[in-house]
Amino acid sequence: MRLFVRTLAALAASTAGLAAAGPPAVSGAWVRATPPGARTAAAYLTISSDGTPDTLLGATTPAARAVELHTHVAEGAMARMQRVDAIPVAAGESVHLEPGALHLMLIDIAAPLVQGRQIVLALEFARAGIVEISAPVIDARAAGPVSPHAGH
Amino acid sequence: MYRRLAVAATVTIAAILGAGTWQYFESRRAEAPTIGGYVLARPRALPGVALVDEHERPFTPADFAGHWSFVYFGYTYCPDVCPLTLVELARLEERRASELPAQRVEYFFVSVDPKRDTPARLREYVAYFHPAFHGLTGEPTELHTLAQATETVFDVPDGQDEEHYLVSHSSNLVLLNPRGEMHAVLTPPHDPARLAADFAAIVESYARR
Repeated sequence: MRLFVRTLAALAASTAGLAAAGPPAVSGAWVRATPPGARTAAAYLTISSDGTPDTLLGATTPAARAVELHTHVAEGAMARMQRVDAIPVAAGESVHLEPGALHLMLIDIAAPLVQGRQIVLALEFARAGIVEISAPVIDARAAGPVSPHAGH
Repeated sequence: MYRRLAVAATVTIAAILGAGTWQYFESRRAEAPTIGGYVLARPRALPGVALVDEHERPFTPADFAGHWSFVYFGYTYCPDVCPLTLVELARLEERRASELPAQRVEYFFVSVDPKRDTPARLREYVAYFHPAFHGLTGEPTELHTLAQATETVFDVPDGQDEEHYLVSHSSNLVLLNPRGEMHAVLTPPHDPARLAADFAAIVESYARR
């Protein structure tokens, strides 16, 4: 499935014309500080396309063994956290990865993530390729609402 | 698998019947407060399940008596919605302490992942969010009984990695009254200001019974 999505995305990228386009803009990135003993963490960010559609296929970071794209789907009374293969960003639109919704799940973190640290995330887009960003670790206990979209 | 489906179906039907019953009584009981969620028309005693707390002490629902209890079902491997909710509960507790200092309230994080969440693991986890928070867990059958009685669902989907599996669970908060009875369900998003206002309304209505 993942390979299929990648192939489709690559095909789309190669056939979509020669218009020069910059990579999607990534803003507001942050990583949730982790409780002691945590093996996982969540990262949030906003991806904006300036007119060229693109698709987030995955991410890597030196701070964790693996990164997966996750979302929450409502299933009756239950919220199911579920892996997704790709996060499409339509032309001229923004996609918010935010608490309680789409997010990056960091698996097997190398060390506790504490406020003040920065981690590097390499985001892999179908069209733009790798986009590297730096995301601050934020301790949500002290920070107040950290995302303008939190709780929406 | 069929048992899980049966449990899920029973819980769903119970929830629908419960919601319907509540709406029926709600229309006749003007004093029940309007909250983000619902207040049970008649608070309900919990079944006597055997749990263990974060200090490895036995815990039964009788131990919920004597104070209000906010109960949240989750697991510590959960990176997003569980820490999010526990942070909101810590903020709720800050508000409660200043706005309703006379009310005794305790907070319980019930791990539905006893395989990975030992009491010791729960102790360090909940204390990170608030020094007074409690952790509970138990055998899966006991957890399912408690979940069903509190209109909560959870499930470990099949076919996952032995070590890195995810658990699905309700994102509702359950409120138990000082008799240790199931009293209300609060639905997300869990905004601390809204939770504090809802709790104040519930407390006032409870005092006027």
